[in-house]
Amino acid sequence: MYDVKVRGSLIEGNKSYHQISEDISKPVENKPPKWWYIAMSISTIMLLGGIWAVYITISEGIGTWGLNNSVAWGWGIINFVWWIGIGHAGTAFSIFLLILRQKWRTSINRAAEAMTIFAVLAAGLFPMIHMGRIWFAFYIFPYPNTRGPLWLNFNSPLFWDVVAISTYLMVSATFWYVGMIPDFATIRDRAKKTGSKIREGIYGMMSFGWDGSTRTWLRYETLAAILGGLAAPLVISVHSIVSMDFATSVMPGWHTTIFPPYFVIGAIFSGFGMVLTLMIIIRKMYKFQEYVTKDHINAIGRILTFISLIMGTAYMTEIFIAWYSGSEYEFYTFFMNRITGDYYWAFYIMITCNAIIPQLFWFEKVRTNITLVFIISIFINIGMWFERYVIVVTSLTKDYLPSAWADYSPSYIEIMFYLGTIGLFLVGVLGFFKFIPMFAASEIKGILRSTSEKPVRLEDN
Amino acid sequence: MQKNIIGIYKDETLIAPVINQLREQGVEVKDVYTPFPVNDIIEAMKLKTNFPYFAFAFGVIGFSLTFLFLYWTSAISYPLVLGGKPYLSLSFVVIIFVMVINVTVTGSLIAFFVREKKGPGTKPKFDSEDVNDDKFVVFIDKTAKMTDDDSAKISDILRSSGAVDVKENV
Repeated sequence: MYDVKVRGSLIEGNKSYHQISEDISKPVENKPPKWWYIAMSISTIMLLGGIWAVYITISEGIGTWGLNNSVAWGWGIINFVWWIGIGHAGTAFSIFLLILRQKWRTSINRAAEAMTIFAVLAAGLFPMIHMGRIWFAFYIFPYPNTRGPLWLNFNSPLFWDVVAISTYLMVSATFWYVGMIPDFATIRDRAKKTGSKIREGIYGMMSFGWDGSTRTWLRYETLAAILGGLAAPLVISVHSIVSMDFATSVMPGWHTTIFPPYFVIGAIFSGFGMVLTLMIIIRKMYKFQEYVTKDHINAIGRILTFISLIMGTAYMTEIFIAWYSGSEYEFYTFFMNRITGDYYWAFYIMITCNAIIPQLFWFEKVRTNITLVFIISIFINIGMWFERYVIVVTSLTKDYLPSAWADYSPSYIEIMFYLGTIGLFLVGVLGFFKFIPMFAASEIKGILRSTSEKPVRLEDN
Repeated sequence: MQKNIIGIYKDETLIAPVINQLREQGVEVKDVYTPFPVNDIIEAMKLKTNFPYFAFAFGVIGFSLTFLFLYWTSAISYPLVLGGKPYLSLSFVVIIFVMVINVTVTGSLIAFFVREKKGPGTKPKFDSEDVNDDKFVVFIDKTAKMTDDDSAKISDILRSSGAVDVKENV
């Protein structure tokens, strides 16, 4: 049972059910605020820059990137893993909290899932374009062909990636959409009242004829539980598979058994960081302080403290095992090329942002100071990017043979491509702000009675 | 033309007792339309779903199909030794695991919409009275056997239990 006295009120402002529909439909029904147009323009420009970079990459080839024979995976894979990690928390957040029956998920799950979809879309672009000759991209699917038929290597983590990530995108998108159907119906009915024909038509189409029948609700809830229950192991497996892209190779610094759990935790960590960033923006810009309360932020802060400790432990374990294993290559990578050496700065940015700064969340004063929380969440996003940078670049630049050692710095095409995916993500998220109810209104109504201090107000003023 | 009696409520906690009260009178509530799922109502209506069994069946189908496909491609259609592993490699577990989830999700989703007869552009069966906003509607079939007295009695029960409005013959 949720004890309001102990855990605080999740929805403030003594809302009535109607007031919740009103508040949550407002951004969809009204014109977006001025900052929205500005943000949308900037993101579109970034996206266009990215499209240009992709055009150059495809028309001229991967040679336009800063890669070389030793560092064959540069920003491409760093950004891929970074985006996948961010894309992980949305679903992880929504689903683990659903399974654990945590009521505070209701205000955050919708935005977290939206973030997942756009982040996974952005992530998928990197390996697809890095393969080169994108017009042959269908080769990655097993289909009967005239070459034997020669099937794919089903033992390869790269193929597992294809299966896992496309399934993950499908499952998250499904889960997200199914969750929105009742809210689309609310908007449809409201549009009918105000006589807005276009909105009624579009949201009517998207609401699949939802009518709120109890029979439907029962099946709907069961469907949500099934999807949630299945997506939870999927979240774990997807990032484990991503980690195996690295761990099954024999590169020093990659070939370790710690990688799957380390990557999964890292993904959830970076995703929670991004959820925080996004929720604080929504809360501030759309004045949703009554739905995303300080208690919500506080709860995420507590989780981040814990995950950050695990991250720190993982970093130390890696370093300890590099020494303890007695492998001179592992030792070299960790002690000469990470803690010290050319890329030490990236290593210390990673440690500071992921393992040290989030420890500030131990203090309640920090967790309840929204500005500080926002800044720390940005640090986490940066830190997690550098984690992937450290893993990829330090191991590849200096491998077994000193004759193969090479430096790596990204070309401006790679940088533009990365900025372009940020643009894609932002365009998606801003579109979400405008066209989709940002909170799961039906779920918020469902928890209102059990998580408010006062009895639910049934009359409207 | 089928006639119905509907009772409109503002408070969802009042509905489960009414359903039981009506059942004692021999009247089954056909449906309750609510803006969010209310467990008490589901229990009072004694609704059950076999959905989880369907999902399990889809999982079994997904497992079998994926396994057969991987086995056929790798051991029968074009046997090829990769990395010294046997044709039927244990590492197929990863793909099977993911595909079981994939097939189960797709199957459950299709099953849900087929069972509910819902799809893009379907018209809702009942969308008046703000059921997707803040009203809870108890929906009762007015059968041919029912006299006007019977329906008046039902209306009375609905009204006395706290319905803000009762409509007959809608």
